[in-house]
Amino acid sequence: MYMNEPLKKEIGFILKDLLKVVKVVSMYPADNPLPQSMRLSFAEKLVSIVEEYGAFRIRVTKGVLEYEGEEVYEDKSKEESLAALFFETGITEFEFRPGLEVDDVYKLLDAVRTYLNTPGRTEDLVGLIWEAGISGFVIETLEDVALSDYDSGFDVNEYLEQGDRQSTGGGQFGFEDNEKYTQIFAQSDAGTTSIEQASLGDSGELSELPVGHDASIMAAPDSGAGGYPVGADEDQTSFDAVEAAPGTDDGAGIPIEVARALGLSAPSGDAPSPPTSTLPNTTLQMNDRFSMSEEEAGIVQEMLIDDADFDPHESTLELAKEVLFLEPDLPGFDETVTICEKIINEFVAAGKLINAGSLLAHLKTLEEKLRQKKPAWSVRLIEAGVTAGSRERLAVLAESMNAHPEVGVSEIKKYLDNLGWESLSGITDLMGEFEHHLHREALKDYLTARGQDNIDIVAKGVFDKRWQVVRNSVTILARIGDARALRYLERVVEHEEPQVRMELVTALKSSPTSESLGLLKTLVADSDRAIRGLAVEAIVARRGEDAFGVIGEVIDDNSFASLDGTEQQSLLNAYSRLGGEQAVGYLSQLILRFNLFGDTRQSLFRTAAFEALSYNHSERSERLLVKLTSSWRPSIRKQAVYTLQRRRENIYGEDQ
Amino acid sequence: MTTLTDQQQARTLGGQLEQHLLTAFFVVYKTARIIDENNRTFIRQCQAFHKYLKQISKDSGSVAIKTVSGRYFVNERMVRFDDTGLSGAMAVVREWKAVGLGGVVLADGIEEGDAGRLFKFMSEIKPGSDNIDELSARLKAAQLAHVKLLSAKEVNAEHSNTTEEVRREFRSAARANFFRAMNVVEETVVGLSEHKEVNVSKTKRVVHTLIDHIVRDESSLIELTAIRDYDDYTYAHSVNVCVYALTLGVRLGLDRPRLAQLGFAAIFHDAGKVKLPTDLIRKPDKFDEDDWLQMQRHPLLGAKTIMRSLKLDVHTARAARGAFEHHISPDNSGYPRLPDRKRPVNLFSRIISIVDSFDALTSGRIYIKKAIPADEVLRKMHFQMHAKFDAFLLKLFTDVVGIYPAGSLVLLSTDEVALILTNSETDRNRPYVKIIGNQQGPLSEPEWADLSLPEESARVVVRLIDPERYGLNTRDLILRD
Repeated sequence: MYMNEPLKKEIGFILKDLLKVVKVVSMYPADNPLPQSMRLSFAEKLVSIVEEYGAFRIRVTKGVLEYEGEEVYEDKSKEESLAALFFETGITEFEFRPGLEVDDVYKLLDAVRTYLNTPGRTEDLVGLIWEAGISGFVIETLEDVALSDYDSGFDVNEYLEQGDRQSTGGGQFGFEDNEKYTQIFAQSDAGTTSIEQASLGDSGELSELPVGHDASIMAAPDSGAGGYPVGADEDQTSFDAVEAAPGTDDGAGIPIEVARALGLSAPSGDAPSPPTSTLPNTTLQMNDRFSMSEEEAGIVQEMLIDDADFDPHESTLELAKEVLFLEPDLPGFDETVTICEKIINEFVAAGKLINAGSLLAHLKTLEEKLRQKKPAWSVRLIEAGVTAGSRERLAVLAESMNAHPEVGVSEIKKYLDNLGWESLSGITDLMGEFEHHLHREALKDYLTARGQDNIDIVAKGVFDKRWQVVRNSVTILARIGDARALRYLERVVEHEEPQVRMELVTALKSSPTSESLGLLKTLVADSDRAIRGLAVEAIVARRGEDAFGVIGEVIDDNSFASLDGTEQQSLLNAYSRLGGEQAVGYLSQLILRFNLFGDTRQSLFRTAAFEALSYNHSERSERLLVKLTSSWRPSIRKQAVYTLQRRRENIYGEDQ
Repeated sequence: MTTLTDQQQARTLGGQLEQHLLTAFFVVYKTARIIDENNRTFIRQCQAFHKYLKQISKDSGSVAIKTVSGRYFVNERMVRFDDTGLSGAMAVVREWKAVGLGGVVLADGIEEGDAGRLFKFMSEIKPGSDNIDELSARLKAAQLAHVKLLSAKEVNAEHSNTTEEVRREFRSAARANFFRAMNVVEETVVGLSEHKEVNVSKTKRVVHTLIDHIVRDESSLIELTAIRDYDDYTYAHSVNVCVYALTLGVRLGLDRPRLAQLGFAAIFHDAGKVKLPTDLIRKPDKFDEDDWLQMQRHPLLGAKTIMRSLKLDVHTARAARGAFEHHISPDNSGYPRLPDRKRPVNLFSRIISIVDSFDALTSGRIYIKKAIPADEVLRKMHFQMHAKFDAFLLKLFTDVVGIYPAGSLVLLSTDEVALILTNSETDRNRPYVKIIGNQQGPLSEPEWADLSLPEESARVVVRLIDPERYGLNTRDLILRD
């Protein structure tokens, strides 16, 4: 057979490109120009191939795609496995045909992308392609292959009753005998079902609720009563009456079975009263009477528009509430609560935290209402709340939030507010799993707020062997920052993992409490330079007597010498600024100390002390500096003049 | 009217070449409306079309492209043409129908340029004002010598012989799709009742197949809903409800995703019955009070079963709501009973409510033990049970199935008994029928008649016949060609 070599080559290239384009498009935001141009270029190329060469059909096998019996594509790796992708979904062949346009190619790419990006690949690629309605692209699946082998004898007899219900056999078409036909003509219209029949039944009244329906406990979810009034009587509503349409002729009554089945009659099962009128003979009028007017067609169109707003999560949420309401006994209720747990998990997995939170809140409200009258039901509902906050479910939350960065902080907080204190430990542990900064901040805010009253739970993490968990606890405890929290934090100030200590100093930096100063002081002596630097920064940023005291202690400590020059300067500056007159004494000691041997360190300290004095607003510092301008030591004199100038600039601005 | 033995020559189906020709034809037809005839794309497309034309005309001389009742013919061969992959094709067919055009003949020797001029000529057809005679005159004036237009009348007359063959193809495919759907429903029901994993993708695909079929020929599927004598009617009922619901959905104009959701919901609407005792479902006697109370739990059980067993997505959400609401009326009466319910019954639930009731009452296999004929059911639904159903949807449904649904037995004014195969689009009183008997008894071979044709004006449907009343087996009538 003649093989169109150029086409074969083009097909090979285009198939290789298909997956590549899908992956690039998945990696970038939709408005990024790179994937947009790649997508367009691929689509135009594919369309032009079809325009030039006409339709081409590809056969799918396990690792290979074939065109006219020849291999045009082979799966090279797990990442490049287009053949496997089609094969595993049951596609046996696919064809591109004239009529394919760029938009159609986009639809195909979108379908493949959705399939690949769905966790666990639980979507059906064939279904996605079908729903996309792609012109110029058709697929054949295993089911189509099976169907093409159909002949009219298959399967039908498996389902059909063996032995006729109606007939007694014989006749080429299964008809029994000629007499039956004769009877049709002999009967005329009498006894036929179309023309004259008797009529309509009367309505029944509902006298009692269906068995098992305990209205005293629960009101309807959307009754507007705000919940489940305990002991309230349910409205004794009757079923709808069955009425004769005005001006009708005689028609048959509705059998009681029909009325019960369709929800038209009373549960007592009374037969309808004798017919009083008939159905209209509209057999020959049906076309006119029941054809849609334009106005009615418009109303139907509006129904479609309204229906387009259908939200599966919202619908399922409301349905779950309704089903809960209807449960008559504990086993059924228990089953439904289990279903609600599943639904909540699915909402969370889909990033629908508002719906998940709403259902959880509903369960909580229900639990409060049932606590007194139905304690066993109430306990079951409590369990559901605990399940939602379990580590397993929180892991789903983390995974979901990572996949849905668009979920807002307030949504997360509102959802978490529905979880009990039992979840705090789990949330603390999992905090590091959340990839997006805003989500982590939301968790921190939540844990800080809830942790105030449950500090022992939040603090459990500091005892954990995993440094990541310790770090998470540290963050929250530092934010809480009260004495109890700090007592726990003391345990980790010398934690072996630098990241924990780093987290501690970072968190303490933003912690406004004076109690944290003690920890910061310890961290100034940390072995890690970055941690030390942050600790110094944190301390010098503080104000007040406490801060001054701690800075003084730090300066006094042996470890002060091991800090680098910048850190020492910062501390001295802060000491001077905060200390005012109190600080002048020590600084003047540093300045006036004799440096007979020209010790560099001493010189540096002197310079640093002068620099610090330039930030001191006290009178005493002014007097000292003025005095030093007359010092017999030239270097001191010089530095004093300079510092005085600097001081005045710092205090009064540069114009002075 | 024709019989199989009156066929003058064996009809064959067009192959791939004819398919390519038709594809190219519709592509250029669409393009001609948008771009100039000197445009490179247009020229290239004309070349492609001309290439296929030449190949076919090599054997046959001239090439005729025709459409009859939504089917496509190239010369005498019906082409199994998948126009769902080609959105413009149906628009062309509608346009032709509006002006009375049935086809076009391209004589051997037509050049590429003439083909292009023909498409440009056709792009100027105005369905509101043109008719076949005017078009033929304009064609002559345009001096397109190798082209001839065929009126719909002459094409229909010419192809009345092949109509039954065409329909037979569709019926064969309908059976395959219908019974495969039953297979899948059975697997699903068993899976749900045994708490096993349900293959949702398979169910969705079966629904897609039904939709594709209904879009092209709904009557061949509706016909099969008239079969009642199954061992277990449960599966057939689910498929029947699905077929009716989808037919209504297609007529409503639902898009593909929503049609798929509707079909899926219809399949699962009675999922709750897997939780009821089998003895109850198959009870041959009348239900007592306890039986009814149990049975009326199936919507609640259905919603629970679906929500518990299936992963939440838009399909399962629709299915759960459909299962729960399909016995709740638009005014919130019915069951399950939810006092002060403010939420309106979902559109799909209202559709399922109508079609479920229709099938239940016409089958005599669900709540009642004796079937009620279709026309009576429809009248009861309109006049006696109207509060239960959405009035507009009920009207549309009646319009869809027609007063004589496919699969019904009727008596004709010519004293013949016939099976309704397809309803006419223009006149519901004049369907396409298979005549199976007369006063003397059953015919040795059935005859087919399109009552909408002028030559059949003497044949009129007098009334529906209840097959059970006369001991007739519609199953055989429907399944055997």
